[in-house]
Amino acid sequence: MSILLRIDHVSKNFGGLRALHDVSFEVNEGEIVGLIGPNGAGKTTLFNCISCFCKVSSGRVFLGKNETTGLTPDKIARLGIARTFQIVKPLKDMSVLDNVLVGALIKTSHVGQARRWARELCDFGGLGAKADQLAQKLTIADKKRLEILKALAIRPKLLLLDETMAGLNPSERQEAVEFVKKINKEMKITILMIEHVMDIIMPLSSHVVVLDYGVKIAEGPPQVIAHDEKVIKAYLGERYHAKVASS
Amino acid sequence: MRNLPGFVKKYPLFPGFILIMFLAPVFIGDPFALHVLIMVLLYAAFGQAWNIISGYAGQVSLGHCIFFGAGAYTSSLLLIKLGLSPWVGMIAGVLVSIMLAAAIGSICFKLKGHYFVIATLVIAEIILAVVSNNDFFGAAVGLWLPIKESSLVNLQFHSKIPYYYLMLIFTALVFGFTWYMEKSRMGYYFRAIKADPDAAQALGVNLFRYKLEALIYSAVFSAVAGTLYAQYVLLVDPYNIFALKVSLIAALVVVLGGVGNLWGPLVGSAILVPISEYARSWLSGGGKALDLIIYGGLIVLIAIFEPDGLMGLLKRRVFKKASDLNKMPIKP
Repeated sequence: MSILLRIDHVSKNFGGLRALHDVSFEVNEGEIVGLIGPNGAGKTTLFNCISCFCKVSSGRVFLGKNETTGLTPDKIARLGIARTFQIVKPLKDMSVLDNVLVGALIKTSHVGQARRWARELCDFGGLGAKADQLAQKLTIADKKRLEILKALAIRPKLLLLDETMAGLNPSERQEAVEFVKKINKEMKITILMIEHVMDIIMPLSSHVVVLDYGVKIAEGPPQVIAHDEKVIKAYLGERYHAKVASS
Repeated sequence: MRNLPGFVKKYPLFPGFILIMFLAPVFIGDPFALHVLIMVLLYAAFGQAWNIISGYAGQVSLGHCIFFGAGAYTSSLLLIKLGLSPWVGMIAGVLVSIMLAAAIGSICFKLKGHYFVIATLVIAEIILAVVSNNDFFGAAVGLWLPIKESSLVNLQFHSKIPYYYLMLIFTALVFGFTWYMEKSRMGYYFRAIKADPDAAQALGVNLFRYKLEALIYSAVFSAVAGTLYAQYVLLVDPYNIFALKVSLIAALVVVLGGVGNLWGPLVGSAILVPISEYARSWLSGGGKALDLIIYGGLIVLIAIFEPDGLMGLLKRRVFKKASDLNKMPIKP
């Protein structure tokens, strides 16, 4: 398996605040990697650094063999990294289909061709029937789904999902989990996902990275992470620890 | 135009509308009414130019007189000082306008926030101060264009009818371009930038490049409108060209008609410009204030009741009938 994304000693300071400190890990092609950590651990900041929405203070990021540090977000998108936003950003006053279409235009300037690809994606993501609605009129679950479809429209190699399942009810969440699996299996897209709900991240990911106060405190297969003392102390809490131990 | 049938299907009234516009001078004997129509077309085209950068791409300009004036003054100066044809002047005006747009855009579009609207407002005032105090530009009196033989080569006519057709062709070109833009990748990118710049960027849209492109297209059409205006009134004076009033009317016709809507500028111009022109002619000097009061009132009403402009109102009514608000189309 080849390495798709390499985070190499990345640090990010906001003035005196140390948001990320010397974080390094790798994501292999075809994997689903979970990124977890308590609130304020630096997960979204790391996403912003990978997608170049903010500049790293030190360290480097590589996509395959190419260094991506210091590029602009649109260049990153063209290189094959797509991201979703934690607070969804549907394109207002545009239809669901047109939202996806804008992303699809990255590979072609032919609008008809982009529309066909966008239509296929809407069907793939279960929004086919709502394709002509205004994006801002969707329910929150559908908006989260649209956020993923927009990102998929640019045909990425790597998809960064930022809490795309937060705020969903259990049945919606189950659908979302199946959808993420489908993206990974059928579209062969590598996924790095931030998620708060342990019951989702543990079975879904092959590999978990844990951040706490901007520092990587653990990394490994989910079963190992769930039993890691440091992680339990920092993040999972005694209750989950007990639950894992008893199961 | 292989897209023509689709266009006619989408806008079934369009051929009839074109025919009426084409034959209008035959039925309108009153030269003043024809003058009003010419101004309606001029402001529809100038408004559409504003619509491209501010309505579609969402970068609000309150200084579009900069580009309009660049066109009007460049061609007039070249004609007076060097005796160059206004057609050459038009091209020169477009080039000057592009340079101004590139200068303003390359500074403001690198920044986030409201720099662009402030810059356009301030630069327009600076240009007004420079032009109105400098004899080279005719200072406060302005420039009188020499009366030439009536011909297309001189871009000067002694009757209003050729001006009308000239303006009709220009306006049709501007609307044709905007229609094409709206359905192309550029149009989608412009609307995405307006809707959410971060989301657009994450989808691979180069914000700087596309904002600058929108501004340059807008500046080009504004400059041509300026040259045509100068050749029509044969007088360019700073207080009627580099004035906030001029920039505001470009914006107001679009706000009234519908921001980011293809037909918005035409609808807005067809309502606002006759009010202004007739108020001026009926009430002589005092008319100036009245038209501004009516403008103000209309804009307040639009802002309160129909922020999408009159085209938005039309769209909504059509869809209430179909009792399916969810399927409201995004484009007219």
